[in-house]
Amino acid sequence: MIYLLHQAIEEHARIRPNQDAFRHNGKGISYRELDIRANRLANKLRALGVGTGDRVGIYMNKCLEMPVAVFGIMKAGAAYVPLDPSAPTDRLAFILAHCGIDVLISHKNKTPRLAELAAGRTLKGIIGVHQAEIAAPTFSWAQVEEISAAHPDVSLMEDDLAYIMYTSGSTGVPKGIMHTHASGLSYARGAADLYGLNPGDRLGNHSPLHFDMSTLEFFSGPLVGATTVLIPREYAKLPASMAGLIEKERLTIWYSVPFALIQLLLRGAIENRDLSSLRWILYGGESFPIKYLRDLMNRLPGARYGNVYGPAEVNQCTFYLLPTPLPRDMVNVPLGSMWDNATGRILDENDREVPPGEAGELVVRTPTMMQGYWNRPDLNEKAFFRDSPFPGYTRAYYRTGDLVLRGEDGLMYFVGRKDRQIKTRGYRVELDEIEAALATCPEVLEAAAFSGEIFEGSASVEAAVTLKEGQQADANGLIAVLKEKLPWYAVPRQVHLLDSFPRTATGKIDRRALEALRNMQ
Amino acid sequence: MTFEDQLKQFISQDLLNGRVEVDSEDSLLEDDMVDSLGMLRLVMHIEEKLGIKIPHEDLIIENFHTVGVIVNYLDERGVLTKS
Repeated sequence: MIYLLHQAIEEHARIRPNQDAFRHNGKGISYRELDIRANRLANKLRALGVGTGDRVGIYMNKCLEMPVAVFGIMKAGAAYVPLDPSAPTDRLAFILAHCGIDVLISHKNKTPRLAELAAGRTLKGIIGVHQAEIAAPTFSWAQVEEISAAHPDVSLMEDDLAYIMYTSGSTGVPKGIMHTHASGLSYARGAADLYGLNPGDRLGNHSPLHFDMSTLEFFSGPLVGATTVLIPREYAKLPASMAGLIEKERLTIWYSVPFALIQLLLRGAIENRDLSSLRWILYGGESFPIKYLRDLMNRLPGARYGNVYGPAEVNQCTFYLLPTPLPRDMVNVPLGSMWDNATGRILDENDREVPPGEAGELVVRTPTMMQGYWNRPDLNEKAFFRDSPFPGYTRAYYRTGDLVLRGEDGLMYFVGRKDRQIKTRGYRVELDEIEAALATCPEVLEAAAFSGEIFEGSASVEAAVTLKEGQQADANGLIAVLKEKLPWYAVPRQVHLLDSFPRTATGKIDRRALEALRNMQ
Repeated sequence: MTFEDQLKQFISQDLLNGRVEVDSEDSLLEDDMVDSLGMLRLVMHIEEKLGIKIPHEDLIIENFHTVGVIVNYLDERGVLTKS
């Protein structure tokens, strides 16, 4: 029985040692090789003092060492914390400090940023680089290869932490979603079952490791002994290259945000490609404009299509198998129904169940749910709805913040957000966080962020500011400041400088009026 | 200003908000450079400036990873003489 995520690698190292577990840029790493290399890394981490419950950062672009890092950290008993390779230094430094990370796995082309990060703190070690200019002990992969490949003897159980993913927080600082081996495995099992994954499958990993959708390819693929193909980020930026990769690698499972699929459809030259290997096209993160969805289904009619929903806090909780072709009168794709092993309730503002057909906040109870946010008792207090159906027994439901309703067909439909979170290319962006970042600029008097121009199905972020009297600033200068504070996807595409804000009758900033500024230079 | 310089200026000013100077050999696809939406805007900018349509099958890494490579690609297609 597999209780821990990395035991899947160990199992398939025995059953199908020579099968590629992961592939990248035309090269593969077999299950046996991955198991051995992850053991070596785990032993190295243990020697550095890493143990059960510790957190180790992964600061890498896609490469074959990435799965070695993920499973090696787990084998050492620790939880991996994936760091956005393009995040600004300040944000990375915050996460390292907040999560208490003193060991990183990285690679050579990150040296300048690693040197900056190491300068401000004491790191026990950085693995994957060997550079004198970094003020921390560094160890190359070649050095790790000299370490024993013996299976590390670690005390660990399914309730121990497996990974922590940081996401936007509304107060201006990111928050770390904690998942255990049990919640990760429960998701991996559920997804493998739902999609009928098997060892012959080839899963395309489009999402970056710090994005929660990556857990399908990193956990469910290995669970069944399938092959996961890591898609380098540069491919994701050029649709025709991405189409070529799908064809060449004969991918069978695709899972990404709609934006990537829309680019593939509009600019991937897919008519020149044989993409018939794709048996599942799954999307999540945000809704898929139905016009593009219909076109994609026409172009790639051989695949089954699934709408996947679930905040990172619960992995996945609903699924909708799209009918092909889509009914002519369909205007909204439903979120679908709850997973078999999950329950959802739709609550009003007083935490009472809403009448049928009315919208309310979806709260979810599922074994795929997070433990909570790392070291944020304030957030954990608010994140869950709890009830006690009988004495001594409390149930916790994650409050998604998503407003949904249950239709007459029994399926759930997305209606909107309870707070000011928006999605851009599947990434969660808290408008409050952007405003908090703008407020730190000394010239800024007031700031408001809003969902900007919708381009090919995905919203961009825009902001407007007023300046303090006598102060001067230009939009590019403010954007440059934000780029040092926010992840790239949250940086407003435009900052409008206003003399004064439009106000509502009660004196609040009229955000609806601001949206009229969209796409105006 | 050559088309190559115009491209560098567009990337630096419009896509990267004047944050960095872009050289002809800089990889545009690195982490801190142009994102997927930015690549799209770059392609549209080129199409608009040159009054051409770049075939979708040409939207590949080999043609777009640096400004120098883009200019070479456009030059080989014979569309740069117009600018």
